[in-house]
Amino acid sequence: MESPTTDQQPPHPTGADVATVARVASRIRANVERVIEGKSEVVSAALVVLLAEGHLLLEDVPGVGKTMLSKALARSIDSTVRRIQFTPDLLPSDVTGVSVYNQQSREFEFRPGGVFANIVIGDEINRASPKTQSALLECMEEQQVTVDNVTYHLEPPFMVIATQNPVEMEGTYALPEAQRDRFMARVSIGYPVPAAEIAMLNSHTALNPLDDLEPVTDGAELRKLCAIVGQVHVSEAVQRYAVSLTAATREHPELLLGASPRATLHLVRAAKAYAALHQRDYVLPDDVRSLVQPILSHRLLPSAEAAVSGRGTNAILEGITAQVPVPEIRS
Amino acid sequence: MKGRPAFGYSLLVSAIAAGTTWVALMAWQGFLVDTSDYLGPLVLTAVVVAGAGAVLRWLGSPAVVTVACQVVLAVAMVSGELGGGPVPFGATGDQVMRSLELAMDSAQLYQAPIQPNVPSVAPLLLVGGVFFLLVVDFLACTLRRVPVAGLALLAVYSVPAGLTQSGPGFIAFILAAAGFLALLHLDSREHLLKWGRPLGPAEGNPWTETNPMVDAMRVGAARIGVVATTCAVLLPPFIPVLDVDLLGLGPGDGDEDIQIRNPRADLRRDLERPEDTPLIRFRTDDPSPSYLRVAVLNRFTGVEWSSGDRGVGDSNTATGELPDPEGLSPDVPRTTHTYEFEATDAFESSWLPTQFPASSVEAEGDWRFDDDTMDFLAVPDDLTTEGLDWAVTGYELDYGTTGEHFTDSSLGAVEDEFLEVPGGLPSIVRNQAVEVTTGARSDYEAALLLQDWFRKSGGFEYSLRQAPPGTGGDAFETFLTDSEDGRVGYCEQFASAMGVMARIVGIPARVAVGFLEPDPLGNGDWEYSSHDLHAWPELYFEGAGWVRFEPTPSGRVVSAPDYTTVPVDRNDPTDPTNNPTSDEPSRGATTEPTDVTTSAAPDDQAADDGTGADDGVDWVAVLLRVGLGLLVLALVLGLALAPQLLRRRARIGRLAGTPEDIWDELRATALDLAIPWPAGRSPQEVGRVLVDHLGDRGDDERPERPRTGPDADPEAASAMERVVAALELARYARPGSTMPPAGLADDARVCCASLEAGVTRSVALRARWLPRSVWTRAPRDTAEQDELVEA
Repeated sequence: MESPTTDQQPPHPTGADVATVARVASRIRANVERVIEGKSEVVSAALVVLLAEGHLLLEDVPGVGKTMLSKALARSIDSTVRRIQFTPDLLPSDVTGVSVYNQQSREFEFRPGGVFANIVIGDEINRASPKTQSALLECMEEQQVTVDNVTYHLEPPFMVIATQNPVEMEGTYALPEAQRDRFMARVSIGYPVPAAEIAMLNSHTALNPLDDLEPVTDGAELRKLCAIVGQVHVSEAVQRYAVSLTAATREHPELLLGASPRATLHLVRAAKAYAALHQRDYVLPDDVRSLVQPILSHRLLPSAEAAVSGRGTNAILEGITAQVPVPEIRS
Repeated sequence: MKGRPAFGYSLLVSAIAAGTTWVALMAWQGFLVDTSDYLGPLVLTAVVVAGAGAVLRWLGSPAVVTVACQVVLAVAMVSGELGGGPVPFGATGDQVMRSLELAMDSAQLYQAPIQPNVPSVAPLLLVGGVFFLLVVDFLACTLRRVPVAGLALLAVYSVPAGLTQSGPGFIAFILAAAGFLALLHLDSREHLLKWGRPLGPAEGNPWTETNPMVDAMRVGAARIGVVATTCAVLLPPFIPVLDVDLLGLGPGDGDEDIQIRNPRADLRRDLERPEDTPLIRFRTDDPSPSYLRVAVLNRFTGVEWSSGDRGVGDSNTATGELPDPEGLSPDVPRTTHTYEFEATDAFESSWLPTQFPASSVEAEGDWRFDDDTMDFLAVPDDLTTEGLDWAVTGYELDYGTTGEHFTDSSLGAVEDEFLEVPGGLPSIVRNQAVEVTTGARSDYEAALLLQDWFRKSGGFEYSLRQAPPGTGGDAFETFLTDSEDGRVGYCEQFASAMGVMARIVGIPARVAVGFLEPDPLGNGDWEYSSHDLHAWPELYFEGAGWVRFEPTPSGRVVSAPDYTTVPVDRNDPTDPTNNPTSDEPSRGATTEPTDVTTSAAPDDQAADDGTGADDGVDWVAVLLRVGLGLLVLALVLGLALAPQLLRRRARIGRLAGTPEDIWDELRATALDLAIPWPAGRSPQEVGRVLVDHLGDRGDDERPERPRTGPDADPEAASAMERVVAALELARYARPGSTMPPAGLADDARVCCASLEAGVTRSVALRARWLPRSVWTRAPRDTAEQDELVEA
């Protein structure tokens, strides 16, 4: 389990530290935006999740660039990248790996699955069976794989970028609540604006733009950046605000299922990354509020009444952020 | 497009409003003969009210302060006019109240126009006029509701329409209507100018004099005004009129009837009537009937003699025998005569004329007598002497000429009221009283000297025409002064003056009003007519009771009673053989219950008595009044300025503090300016709301609706960002990791100034003079949120 982020703060990050975070992040952003144009807020969310050591769920209709985004992000970092194409016949062992008997050495030897990489791209994750989907559970939460009672640790940084089609599409299985909760954020890419689409035609028809994409950072530097993000200060007022927000989802009459404590944790960690991206070594209530929708919306289960009346989780969350007051605690 | 009117404009509107009201007040001229009594003081008051209003409005004072200052000034002016001092308290206040009471009495007693020889109603008109001046100024200039001010002007006109037979003058009406239209025009023009630029092809300045739209509006306004004024003039004759009688002013047929309801009768008016109206006919066994008393004036207020408050018992009815006259010794020889009176229809008096002293009176109706004065008053309001028959048995007393029955009255022999002389009388009255009676060895001799002085030695002349009006302090002074206009008067003044002077030297005195001498009708009947009305003093002596004296010179009354024409052998005070101290104190010692100076050496005593000197200026009182006035002024100013000062102090304190304090200052400023402060939002959100309310600080002429937003004042928007960032550092950064940036207080000042520039003029004024943050604490929801989190 993760430890609380506040009381055990390591030494303060300096201004140079947060500047480094912002600088590297902007390099990655620029790299990614060479491929995905006009979607800066989606790229920002991906960066926040990357720096907060979370996992990202990209949900949208086919063909809007989910896979392209995840690949671009992976290629921007000089680290191991693996892509798992989830299909209905994909087995859990394809994800985690399998022990095979070596007749020469007369021993079982472990063949790592697709999850053994720094960045794992789980493409169309909701096309696989729930059993295979759940194979990702342990890897995502504990960053380790246990096969035949042997536990294999995954090397940090470890990030799962999963893409999925909306559940109502044919041949899809809805992600279970437990697995959804393990993704730090869910973002939708959406259709590009006409200008961006025209630019895409120019750049993507001749050759694959991913081919020219060079890494702008590596795993080691990313680990340092994540450590700096972990040291960003979260005041008591902001902690209270985050708790108030998630608590409000649990009591909201239009929600069957509210946000979990893990959601609160993810919210604060993401807010720290967000603050660092803005060259701040402290989190503002506004950081938390701006992340509420990507961090919380996929975890909530609207009531039947809300669904009938057409109020989605985003609308409900908007109401909650408008109502929950920002605590005013003087230093 | 101005928020604050130019001083010239403010002064112009104020002047027109005041001038219009003053002209409208000319409609009240029908109330009295001498109109300058109220129109004169009203000119000055109008100038002061308009000037003060113009200056205060130009300075941007709140309406409350402007009106308060105008009221204070107006009250001071009225007080100065009526009471002689600007602060209407103490003696000045009493004087003001007396003037108003007398004016009210006159209004109730006499028919308009009130003649100059009776107490004027000018004080009432002055107070009413000042009231309307203030109301019109408040409505037209302070509130800028000119049409409503028209109602006030209409009220000014409706007062004389209801109370006098003559309507307002035509010229005055036209002038006032023109003033009102001018006010309407200025007001409408000001409103139009504030609406901003019109849509349309107008080029250049659209509101120049030649702009057709403005001209059209002006013409339209003028047409409406003319039509309204015409309707106001033409319609009233066709509208049923309700008779109103607010002040009970006399009815219209009073020219022929003699009304005596208040015994301070209008003797002069009745005496001046060209026709000698028969009032009372009677038959008697008295071969030479003379004086017939109607009523007694027992109270002297310093301005007037009045009948005071009368208490009449249930048994004091005019149904027969009367008690013996007060103080009359049975030793005085007396002859009894009977009188059978019959009043004509022209004589309407609520006082029953009777002989004095009398042994019995029988009259129909509920007439009651006063034990002290023995005059008869009708108890029912509608009971008068009109057509009444009544019978009286009276005494004719023979006091002789030796003075044997006239003993000085002892202390407490009569009510103290008969000796009261209020302060504030001109010194000449006291000095003359004492001087004339110097050398008298008894009250009787003093009374004889006084009467002799009025009738002969004083050089007085009886004249109804040249007599100065009234009987107040100034009238006394004129009457008693040996000058070109002085020492001329008629019976009321002689009686009043002798009564007052008798009281001054310690002789109980009162004034009787009645008839002097009847005319024989030839068949044994006698008749009193309106020209026989008369007034005389009655003085009290032990043994003789209340005795009639006759100070009116022979021009009116040929002969005085025998007992009053005894020559007095003066006790010369300069003669060393005489001992003035053995005599004077004996007379003066009984006469000290009031503030009467009875010394035989008035000048010396007056000179020694610093505070009692009437002819000098009472500097202590003046200083006290000035001090009190300054205190009141300081209090008013303090109350008006206190919120501003408190607010300024709080701002200085907060701006010198932490970013949280500076944020509190912004919050207080928003509260003062009625800018919404979102509760429970982050500093950035609040900052965004505030930025939307920033106004252009460089715009000296504040528009009616100032442009607001970050573009209106980019510098203030940047300053707001810095203030918000500093607060975020203070609240959310690691404690002690950063210091608040320098210049934050300046940034906050810029923000506050810009916020103030973004509100309307009225809101800014209210924020300056009545800042809400001084008495309202800006909401802080920390505790509430703590509970929420803990829950």
